[in-house]
Amino acid sequence: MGQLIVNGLTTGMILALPALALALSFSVLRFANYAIGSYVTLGAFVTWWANVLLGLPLWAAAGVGAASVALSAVAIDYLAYRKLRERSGLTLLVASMGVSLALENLVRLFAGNSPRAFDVAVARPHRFFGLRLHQEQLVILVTVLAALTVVWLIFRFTRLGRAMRAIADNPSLAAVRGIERGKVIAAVWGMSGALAALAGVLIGLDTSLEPQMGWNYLLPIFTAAILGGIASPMAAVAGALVLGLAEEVSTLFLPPHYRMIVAFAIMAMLLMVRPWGLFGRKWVTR
Amino acid sequence: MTIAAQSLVAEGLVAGYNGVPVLHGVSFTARAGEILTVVGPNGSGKSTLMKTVLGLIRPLAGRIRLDGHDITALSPAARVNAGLGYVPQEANVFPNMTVLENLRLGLDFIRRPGAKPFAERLQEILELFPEIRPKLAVRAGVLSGGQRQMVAMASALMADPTVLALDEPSAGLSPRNAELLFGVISRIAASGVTLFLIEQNTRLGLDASDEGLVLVSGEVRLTGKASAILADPEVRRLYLGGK
Amino acid sequence: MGDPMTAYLIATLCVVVIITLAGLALNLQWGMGGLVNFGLFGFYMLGAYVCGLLVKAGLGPLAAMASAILVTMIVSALVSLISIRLSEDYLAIVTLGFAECIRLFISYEDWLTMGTLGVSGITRPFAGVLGSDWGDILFLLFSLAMLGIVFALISLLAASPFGRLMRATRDDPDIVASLGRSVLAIRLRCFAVGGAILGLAGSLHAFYYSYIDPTQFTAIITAYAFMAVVIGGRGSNTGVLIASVILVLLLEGSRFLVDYFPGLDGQTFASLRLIAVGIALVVLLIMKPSGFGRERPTVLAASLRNS
Repeated sequence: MGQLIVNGLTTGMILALPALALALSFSVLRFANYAIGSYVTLGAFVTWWANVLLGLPLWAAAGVGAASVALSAVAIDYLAYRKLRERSGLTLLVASMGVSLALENLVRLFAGNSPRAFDVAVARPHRFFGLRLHQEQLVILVTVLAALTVVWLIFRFTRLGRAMRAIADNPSLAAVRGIERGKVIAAVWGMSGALAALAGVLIGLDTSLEPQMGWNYLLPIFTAAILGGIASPMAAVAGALVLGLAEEVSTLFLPPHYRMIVAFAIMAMLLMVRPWGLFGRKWVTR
Repeated sequence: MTIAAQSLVAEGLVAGYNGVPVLHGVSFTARAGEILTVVGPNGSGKSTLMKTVLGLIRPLAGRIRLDGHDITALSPAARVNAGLGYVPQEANVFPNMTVLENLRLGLDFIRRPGAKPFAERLQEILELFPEIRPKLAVRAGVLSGGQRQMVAMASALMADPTVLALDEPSAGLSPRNAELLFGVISRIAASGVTLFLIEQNTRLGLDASDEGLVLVSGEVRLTGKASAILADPEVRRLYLGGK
Repeated sequence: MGDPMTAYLIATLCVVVIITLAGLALNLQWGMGGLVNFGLFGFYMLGAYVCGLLVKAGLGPLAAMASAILVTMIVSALVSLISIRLSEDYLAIVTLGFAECIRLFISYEDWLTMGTLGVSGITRPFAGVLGSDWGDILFLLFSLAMLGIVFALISLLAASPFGRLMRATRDDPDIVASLGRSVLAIRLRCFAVGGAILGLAGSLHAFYYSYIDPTQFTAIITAYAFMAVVIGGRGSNTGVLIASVILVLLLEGSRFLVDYFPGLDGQTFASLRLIAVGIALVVLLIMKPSGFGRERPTVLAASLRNS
């Protein structure tokens, strides 16, 4: 049972980063970025390239990956999403699908379909109180905690964080208070992209890298964000942990390849019964 | 009376939408520490006037001066930085942020030369609005309508504006709360800030003001001391129900 | 029929018909109804498998096809119920999730679906009626007949009061609700009918290839359908028809380019094609949001504008 909790929390922690990224961009821009899966893939593969082909140690390569995706996300918003902000939300959805398609296949073009792994030293698993903890899981734990702490600090205590929350809360008043929407949006995409990239690295560490990886995570990412209450970024983290644990517990009576179905079932139930998530504030449905 | 004491001056404003003017040559002068209230029937152009003063609409003709500087060509953000504060009628706080954070945001992104640091300004504002001191950690959205109005005004004042523009401040408030609010507005004026209001409630607005302006169909029908306007027979007949 | 060029033409036209049907389905759901179906390939796959498995089980092809259409319609209705009370963007993730789950299920439950081995020997309707030489042409004619029926039905639907209601629900659900009409019922019906068409498209896919396995069904089908609707113009059936033809001819025709670039393989071209589709989608949405076709205006919307 303890092992289940450890594994569940690991899954949940990896999921927390892109779920937070999704909730962040949703809360400020009010649209669900379906390209988030492809940001995860892009981040993983750029990191792989820096790690395996350029020979950088993994932490430095991850930095390269995060920066690349951060910049790409800002660029994509500037070139594509910005022009569609005045249209209906559904148009943005389809556009983000197009972005996702293009990015994922761009990776496939350069990297092919076969799975890869990072160039890291193989380490023996540690043992804590009878539980097996892999080196990768420790890295995941530390990285995610560090990333979440940084994001939380920015969100809660800095001018930028206040500006993000202000725009999410009351965009017209934010403009009156002198907040420059364009710059804040760029910062949001930068953070979102970096978080997604980091998630990609961690997934690659935990399992392997392939161009399909981000797409496979789309459903869990959205479910985690909805669980938390999609407009509340920090609650998305809680949603991710809950989902990770739920998926892990489900392996007791379902085969492991059916984790998607668990995520789907949870999401379906949520949407029918409690669409504002576990921690969100109640709103009106039709 | 020196020019510097004339905080907000409008000269011959002609403004409207899509080239069609709604205001036909509106002029007024608001002096330091004064409360100037614009009243008039629905559709008279009050909100158009406010939008023009704020910079949301570029006038077709005329000028606006703030503290002697011509701000006609400035963007809304630039006007805020030049000393024009604004409290919108609705949705004038950040409901999911605490009162303290709302106040912080009043200063965070304003670039005013000589602006005081946050802590110092916060104390000054809390002197002016002692009612909100116990509510600093409360989310603005759960406050009552009157309290929210106060937070909205306090936030706008954090940036130390020369002129504070208020958009129908008594809207949605009970008569008692509206009276309390206008008491606060007097306090603000007493501290030296110039107040420029548009008000739907003619009696309440003019009662609490120094100067008034009656706007009808985009033209200035009457202007002068608020008390004199209130005593004017035509005003009494049209807007105050006779007597 | 010894001419390989003709055979290739017939084959391509079959693919055009199938893709057009998928495009028409999406045009109904998204173009006219405002319901974003990101899991389109899942319903298509469901239709193909229900049809194929029933044929293998001994049911006649036409009956199998009818069953597939019915099943897909019902499943579509059920899936849309999950998010029907919420804003339209939730349907996108629900359908996407559903499609992935269907694919997983079909891949792994091989006791039912043959899993990755696939279902082979799916006989076509009217097979053998005219002799094997005419098999492909016969199937093409059958498919075209199906397409004609669907096109006629959808055009009738679009012009009908229900069609106007659908479009009004897409543009302003609150007004429709205030008129006392059930937004939920309208959306449900719209999505279900679209699902039925996808079931038909999937069945034709199964007949055409005679063999289906899970790898044939990916989000690429969804992408093609979206392209067709975006190019053709949301709500315009004729536009979608023409767009699908152009799209498939372009994309299939690009296979010939492989011969001219000996250094590049099929996989590379597949990726390049999809990158092009993705970028084209975004560019088209920015530049030509209403596509190249035209939609008939709704009386409801117009009268509301004037009131």
